[in-house]
Amino acid sequence: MIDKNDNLALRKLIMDHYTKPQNFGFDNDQTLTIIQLSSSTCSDELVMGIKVIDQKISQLKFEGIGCAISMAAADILANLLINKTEQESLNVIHNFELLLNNDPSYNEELLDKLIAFKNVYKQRNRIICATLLANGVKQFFKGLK
Amino acid sequence: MNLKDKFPIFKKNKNLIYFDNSATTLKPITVIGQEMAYLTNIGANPNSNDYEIAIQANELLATTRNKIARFINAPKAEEIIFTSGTTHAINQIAFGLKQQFQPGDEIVVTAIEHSANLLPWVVIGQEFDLVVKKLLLNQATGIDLDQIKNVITSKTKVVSFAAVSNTIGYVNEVDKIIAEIRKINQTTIVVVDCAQSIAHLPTDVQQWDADFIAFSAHKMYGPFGIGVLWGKTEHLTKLAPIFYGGGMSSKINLQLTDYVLEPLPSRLEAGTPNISAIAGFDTAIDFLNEIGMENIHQYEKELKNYAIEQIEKFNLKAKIDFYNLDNDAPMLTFNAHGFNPQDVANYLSFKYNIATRSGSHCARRTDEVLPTSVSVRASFGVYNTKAEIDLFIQGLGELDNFLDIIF
Repeated sequence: MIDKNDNLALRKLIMDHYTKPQNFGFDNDQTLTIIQLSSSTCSDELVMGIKVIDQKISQLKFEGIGCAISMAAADILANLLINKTEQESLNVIHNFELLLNNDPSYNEELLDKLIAFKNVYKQRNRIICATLLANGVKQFFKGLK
Repeated sequence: MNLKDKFPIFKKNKNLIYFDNSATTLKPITVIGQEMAYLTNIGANPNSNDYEIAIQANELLATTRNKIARFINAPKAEEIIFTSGTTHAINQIAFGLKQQFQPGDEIVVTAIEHSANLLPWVVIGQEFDLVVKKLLLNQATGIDLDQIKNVITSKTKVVSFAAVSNTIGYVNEVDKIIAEIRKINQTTIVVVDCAQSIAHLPTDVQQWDADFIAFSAHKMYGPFGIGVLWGKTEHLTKLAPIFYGGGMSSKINLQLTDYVLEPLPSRLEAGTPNISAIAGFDTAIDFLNEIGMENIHQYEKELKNYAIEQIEKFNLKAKIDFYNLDNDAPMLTFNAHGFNPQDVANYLSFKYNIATRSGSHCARRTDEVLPTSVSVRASFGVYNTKAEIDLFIQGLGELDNFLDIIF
């Protein structure tokens, strides 16, 4: 578990996931459900690809252009949500939203490396960046109902 | 030129460096005061005219219309149509021309138009089966004069372009472009989007020989929610209104099957005008006239040249791509290698209180002429200084620290 007070390590973590994202690219996988992730006031233009098998997320990828916060958050979140059910995924996202809104009731264990975004709440305009992929996942599950 | 004292926002935000003047300009105390004075002392609807304050409202409307006509050298004040802004004005032109379109007619724009001068034409093109084409641009992303003859044809109904682009800032030679269009087709209607030029360069609709122009007061140190559609009388009288309502109808027949509209400008100004904003607009024109448009142009050019010198001095080109150093429009559009524009803009704000804008700047097809669809834009206005540019240059030199904003 990463130390949430080690800012140097957290910075490095964000930079690593931004510059070398592990979940970037769809690799021509035609079975993914594609969702556009963007906001009219930011320069992020990401596209999400998701697949659920046996009620668990089996693939969660993204492509496009994004800022450090949106790309790193998308990458870390994608790692966390793999093999999770809808309920489990939404729970992680809910706790991430608590963190981003500076609500101390979040479950740190569930957030794992997402804790690196502990201070994004100070930059209100960047909460939208940090939640781009999270919102795409929520939209996907909503669409299934 | 030190004008900051005239802008109350700098009293509250002492260290604000405002480089987002292409999005909107800040408001001088005189403009704010005039809008407030209207609401405090006059407050009437200019569609009434039977008592003192209503008479004053009507006089203000007439005075401002005249002042704006002189500001753009329009031959007649009734050719000044008040709109909510540039977007409303261009939509009024595009949809107001609909009775004049034949299937197959051509609309000509450029790839770097703002959405306000692109989307209405795309929509009207779809609806009336028109061909929407693009003028070709030169290396510096201005309209290529030599290529105009290869695009304009006998079927070109409208050419609509920005005098200055909102992303790159290239200053188009409006008069020469229009002359070139007229050589090929004398009936083509030429629309000039002046949103980005109106507060930075002199505007002369007669010297340009434009048919319509559009601009917004808020980009010229004036209030939000008010702007101008100017057109030659012959075109304005044929334009179908997009809004119908009070103040513009002189007669509706008993059977409710026919109507007569008021003459210009009323026929294109349905409803109650944003009269308190018009009061502020009037003062914004005074503000610009007092400094002088030619002086503004020279001063802002000096700022741009100074920025270019500093970019060279600190060798910033080694790690930042600047897309518009070869034109004298007062804006810089750039991308730092390996950095997303939003991260750059947020860092400049966080560390230096510098307001810039990141993104596509509402010009969705710019990636046809730039190597990117998103960028950072720093745009200057009359209150900006060389000292502010120094801080901006310093900030650009230390972008590696951009994650400071969340730690």
